[in-house]
Amino acid sequence: MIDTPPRGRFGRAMTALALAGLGIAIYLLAARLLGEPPACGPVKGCETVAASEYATLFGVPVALFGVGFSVVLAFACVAWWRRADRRALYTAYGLGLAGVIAVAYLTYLEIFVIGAICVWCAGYALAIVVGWALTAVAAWRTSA
Amino acid sequence: MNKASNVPQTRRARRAAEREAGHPSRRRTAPRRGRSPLLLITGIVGGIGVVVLAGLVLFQGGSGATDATSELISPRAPTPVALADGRAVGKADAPVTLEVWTDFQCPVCGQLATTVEPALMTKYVTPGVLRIVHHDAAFQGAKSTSSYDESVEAGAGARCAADQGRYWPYQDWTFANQAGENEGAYAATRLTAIATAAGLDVETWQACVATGSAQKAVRAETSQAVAAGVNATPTMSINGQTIVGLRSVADLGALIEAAAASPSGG
Repeated sequence: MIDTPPRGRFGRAMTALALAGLGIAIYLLAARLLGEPPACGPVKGCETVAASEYATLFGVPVALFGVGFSVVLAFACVAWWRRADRRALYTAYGLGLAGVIAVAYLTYLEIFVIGAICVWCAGYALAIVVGWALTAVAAWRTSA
Repeated sequence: MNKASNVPQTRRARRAAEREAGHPSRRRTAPRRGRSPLLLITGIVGGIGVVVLAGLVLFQGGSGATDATSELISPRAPTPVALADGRAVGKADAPVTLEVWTDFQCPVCGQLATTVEPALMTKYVTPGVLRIVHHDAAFQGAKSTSSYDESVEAGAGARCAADQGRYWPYQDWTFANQAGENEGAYAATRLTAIATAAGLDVETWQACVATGSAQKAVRAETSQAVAAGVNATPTMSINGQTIVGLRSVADLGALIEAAAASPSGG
């Protein structure tokens, strides 16, 4: 494999963002399983979002999907960063794009349907979007 | 590969080495971007994403009013009816009273009712330490442009259920079947289904609801709550100490135990 120039910086940042997303998803899942609202601090909205019907999909907490997704994404990012595996980069790119679509939909639900913003969910969405943007740049540079 | 020992250290040198190691003929004849799988991945993932999103919008968008008369969800932790006393539950001489101003349409009230209160029932109500009293604060329905106020109607149904000694089963079933706000979750047909599931004499219950006096009572108690400073749901009060919003079982438990231990509370 060719060790393309931006791999180090981009790999680190992508992995860090994927792990940040994983941490948030694990926290939200733990709060859900414990039956307690996520701690929002002075910002309100987490309780409303967590209690809404959209917090589960087919009876499964949405946070569980987030945990699974972030684990796979983090593995792909690490594989590219540490092993220069180009397939892993493309996997991260595809997963990231799916993640961006998913968080865009969930953010739409928060703003326009539930009428409340959960800062944890917003943080997760930000990590996914920025992570995917980095992945897209890295993939473009790698393939160019 | 033995090339590894000669990997150029700077970015420019690596790029130069890559150019050198590449195949100039291929680079000239075909744009390298065209060989990239990015476009293919974007197309496939984007296409699948759009299809899945459309499915979700149809599935979740249809889970409100259109599902109103479909099968109801059973309460996960039904309130022990033996401890019920109208819209209160627990011994009348319990040292601590938790008053709750609630709205059947409020999602956080739903979380309080389905996750926190059942734990409090087990830990404090059953042993006789706590009495929980529910009050109406029917705010959410006012956000609807419809003349049918789902918060008020659900609350009225609860009062008529209380007339039959079954407020708590009704509230358990109602909160277990929240489905959006002002979207038909508490349409008359669905409330009737809930009343049936809660074990009420439905004809008597319907006659009670039809008089409109229960709705007036809900609105009156809501006005009293507003006058007393309640402007959000759920609002709670433990022996006079006001708590706005949801709290964990542990947090409420600490307040309950403190109130029970205090001379005025005990």
